[in-house]
Parts: sequence; structure tokens; C-alpha cells
Amino acid sequence: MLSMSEKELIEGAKKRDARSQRALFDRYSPVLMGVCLRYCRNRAEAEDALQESFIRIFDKLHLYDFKGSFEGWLKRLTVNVALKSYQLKRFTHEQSGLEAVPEGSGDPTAYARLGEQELMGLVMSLPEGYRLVFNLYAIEGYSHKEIAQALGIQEASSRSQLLKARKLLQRKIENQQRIAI
Amino acid sequence: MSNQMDKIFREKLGRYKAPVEPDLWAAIAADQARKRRKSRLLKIAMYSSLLLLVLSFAYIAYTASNNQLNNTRIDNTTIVNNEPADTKKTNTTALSNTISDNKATVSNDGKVTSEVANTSTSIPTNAASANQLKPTTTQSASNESNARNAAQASNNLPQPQSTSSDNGSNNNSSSNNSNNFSGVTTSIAEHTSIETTTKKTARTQFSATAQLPRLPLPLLSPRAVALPELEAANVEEQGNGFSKSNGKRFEIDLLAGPAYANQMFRLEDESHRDLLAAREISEFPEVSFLAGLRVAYRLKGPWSLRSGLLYTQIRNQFEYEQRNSSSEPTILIKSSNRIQMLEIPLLASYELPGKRFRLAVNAGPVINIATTTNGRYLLPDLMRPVSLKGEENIYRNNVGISYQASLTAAYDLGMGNSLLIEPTFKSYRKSFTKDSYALGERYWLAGLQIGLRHRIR
Repeated sequence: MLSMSEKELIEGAKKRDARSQRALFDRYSPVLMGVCLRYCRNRAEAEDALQESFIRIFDKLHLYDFKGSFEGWLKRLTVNVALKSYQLKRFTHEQSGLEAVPEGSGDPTAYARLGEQELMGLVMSLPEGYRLVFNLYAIEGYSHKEIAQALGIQEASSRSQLLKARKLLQRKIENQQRIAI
Repeated sequence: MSNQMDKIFREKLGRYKAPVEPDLWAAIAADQARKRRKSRLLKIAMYSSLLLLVLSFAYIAYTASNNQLNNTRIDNTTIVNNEPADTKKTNTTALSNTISDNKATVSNDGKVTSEVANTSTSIPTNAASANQLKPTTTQSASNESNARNAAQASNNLPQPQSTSSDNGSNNNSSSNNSNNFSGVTTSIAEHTSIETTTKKTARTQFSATAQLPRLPLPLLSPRAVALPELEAANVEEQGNGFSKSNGKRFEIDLLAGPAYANQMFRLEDESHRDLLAAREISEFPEVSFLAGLRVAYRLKGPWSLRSGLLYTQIRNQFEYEQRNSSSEPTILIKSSNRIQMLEIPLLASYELPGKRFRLAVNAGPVINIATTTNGRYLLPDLMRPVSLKGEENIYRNNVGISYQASLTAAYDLGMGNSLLIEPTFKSYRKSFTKDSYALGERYWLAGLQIGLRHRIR
């Protein structure tokens, strides 16, 4: 349920009122920057994606009909912008040599002990293809069919890249634990 | 295990917040400002087109109405010219027949007077109608000294009687019946001719009064409606072209109205892009004003020259949110930036033909005499607003020559006054900012002025 002030802000931004737009930016830009960082290779790219996302948000805001979460709508739009940016850069699937990596047997509670920044660091360290699929599936909740459509790949590729992403994250955690010990 | 792993990542990274650089908003706001401008331009273009369409439609409708009016007048004149010929023929025939009867009656009875008096009963159709039209038939039977019978016959005509009785030469009528018959014949024939002429005049007047109510009265000036047709035509003819107005060569226009001033920045050096973004996101157009007093000198034909004094005020709202640190509240700084100018327009004007509603196209240069500014603008290096007064004033004191084009719709109110509606467009070719300033700033204005025109007699 939207609070009145938020609804007013959205209505104002729909009319291209500068103050309402600024208030929406102040409120949601940190969350959306977090989204952009997960999809982009570095901070500069993430800032570009965030800028483009807000331009798109203000242009498409009239399509938002106050049904469902506004933040969810913003995130979905931001993810689409980030993915478009990824496609424009013609990313070629990186091969990380993970095929040789054995299935990890690490303790799943090890992830729970890590903070947001560390987890973010782990995700950012993934090769781009894996990172995109992992972000879309594990964090955003997209299905493999949706991921395949968004990235222009086969569903099977999406599944295999997710699997490899998990393996890689698991291995990185184990390495971190070994160093810590 | 995979699901548990996904869940942990989702919970911890789903609401992950990362700090955002403050200047990221500047680029987004600049983009939005550009879109707002574009949107305003589209609206202005739409409203201008609509206004031009309405004016064009009004002009065409009014011209068509005038043509219809002229055609109606021509028809009236034709009817007036044609009708008497038939009437004359009929009247003459009727009168001849009556006179023949009179002759016969006189020969038998010798009671010429009484019998001719009967003749007058055959006339009344004409006499009565003539009487209804106008009492000018007074002249119709006058000066017929030999026609005593005719004079008596005209007893039924209210006015002629008194006039014809002035002759006082009716004494010999009874002794010279044959002469009287010929006199009566001549007299009545002349009477018929004179009466027909009179009737023609009377019918002209009648036609004019009878047709006027069917005309589009609201389009006629009160003076034109009040006066007879010929005089009304003269009034309108006087107003039809200035060349016919006997030296009324000067007009005074007093105009004022709102305008939209479109601000355009030009970046000379890419290194100052921050300055461009800062100004684009902090300045928004407000309603600007135009006001002026013009004198027109009318040349021969549709051309005239217009000059005078024009006051232009360009208004922009300056808005800036100042936040010294994240813990302090944001302070909204607002002010109204004004660029005020005094200018002399030198316009050539071409007037399209019309009667009460006229259109004129004006175009020409406008010479700037003086420019003053007040307000604030954002300095990106310091990220603080600075005043336009004193040494930090970035604007020129004179912006040189601009170009103006306008369309004047004038509606004649009578007594030499007209109501004016004038959509105006003005473009400044030169930058308002000094050469030393990194950003060029030009404007164009689109306005709608309303005013009065007085023709000097």
C-alpha cells in the first residue's frame, strides 16, 4: 500500500515536476544503485546504468498504475536497462574454467555469516555471464525462461550458467574460510 | 543447499543500498529540463497553430459575409432599376384607359370634374402605394396649370393637392373641354412620368429599408445601420482603404500581453559542461511580458511602416536546493530572474483587404536600446548561487538587433478605434551573455498581445 506522500510524489513526477522527481531520486537511487552494481562490471558502468534507468523511469512513469509495489516496478525497469546495456556491449560469454571445479561440500551457513558487502564482493567477482544469470534467478526471482528471453540465450544455457555460478561462489567461500583459518 | 544459498543472497542483497554520487542527479535533471522545454515548445506550437487557424477562419468567414452583403446590395439595385419599367408601363396603360373613359363621360354629361374625380379612383392603386412609400409624391401633380380636373383628381392624393392648388389657373376649364381633355391627357401623362420617377426614388428607399433587417446586422457599425444605404456605403468606403481616407495616415497602437521566452544555451567549450548542466537544471521559464506603443505611417496601397517603443521582460525562475551536509535539511533557494529591455521596432506592415475585420502581417528588425538584468544563477565550481548584479553580472547591457514578425488582427470599433490581437514572434540572434562567459545564451519569444488602435484624424 502506498503512503500518501509517495503517491503524491509519483503523481508529481508524472507531471514532470522537478521537485517530485528529485524526491523520488533521493528515495530510491541507493537501492537502484545496488541493483546496477550487481549487473555492471564496475561502479562507473553502474552509475551510467542508474542515470539511464532514472531517465527511463521518468519517461515511463505514466505507465505505472499504482498496482503492485512501486519499488518492485522500479527495480524491474532498472534491471532491464542494465541488461540492455549488457547486450549493447556485446558481452561474449566468458569461460572461467569452472568445468573442472569439483562440486563443493561447504557449509551453507558460511554464507549466512557474511555481511552484505562481502556477499556483494563475491557476486561482483563472478564472470559476467554467471553474474547476470545468478542475479536474475537468485536475487530478482526471474525464471529461466524469462532469463533466456532477456539475455537472448537458451534456457539450458541459463540453467548451466546458474549452476556454474553457484559452484564458483561456493569455492570462493571455501577459499575465504581456509584463509581465515 | 542451492535454495538456501539463493535465499541468503536474496535476503541480504535484495535491499542492498549503495551510495550515489550527488552530481548524478544533475545529468538526469538536465535531461528532464530539456524534455520539459520540448514539451512546452510543442504546446506553444499547438496553441499558435490553433490561434492562426481561428484567425484565418474568422477572416475567411468575414470576407465571405462581406461578399454576400455586396451581392445583396447589387441585387437590390437591380430590382429597383427593373421594377419601375414594368410599373410605368402598367400605370400608363391604366391611365390611358381611364382617360378614354373620361373623355366619353365628359362628352355625354359635361360633368368633367365629377367624372374625372372618378378617374382619380382608378389611380389610387398607384397613388396610395406612392403615398405609402414616401410623401415625396407632393411633386407629382404640381405645375399642371391646365389640368384642373387632374388637380381635382388628385384630391385623393394627400399631399399633391396642396401643391397643385397653388397654380390657381383652373378658371377656364369648363369652357374649353376639348382643350381640357388634351390638357388632362398631357397632364396625366406627365403626372405618370413624374410619379414613376418619384416612385423609383421611393422604392429605392423602400428597398433599402426592407432589405437591411435581413443583413448580418451585428457586422455593421451603428453608424452604417442608422444611415441610408448610400450614406452607409460611403462610410464603409471611407474605411475600406486608407488611401481613400483623405490623409488619415497615422495610427497609434497600444499593445501588451504575455509571452513565452525560450532560453537556449550554447556550449563553446566541452570543459564547461557542468556549467551548462547547472544552469539547465536551476532555471525554468516563467511567463514573460511584452508591451509597446507604436505609431504607424500608412503608405499608398496596403503597406505601412510601424515604429515606437517596445518593453520586453524575460522572466526565468531560479531554483536551487542547497544542502551543506547530509545531516542538515535542504534549503530551497528561489528567485525570479528578469531581463528587461527597451527596444525600437522598425516594422513593415502589409494589410490584407477587409472591411471591419482586417489582417496585417508585420515584420522587421527591432533595435535594442538598453538591457538590464537582476536575479541569480548557479556557479558550478562553487555550487552556490550568485547575484547578477555587480561584477558577477554575466549579461550584456545591449543585445543588439533582434527580428520580429507578427500577425495583427484588427476589428473596427468605430470612431477610428480598433481592437487588436497580435500573435508575435521575436528572435534574438546575439547571445545575451558577455563574450568572456563560457556559455552562450540566446532567446526567442512567442507572445500574444492585445491592444487598441486609434486612427489620427
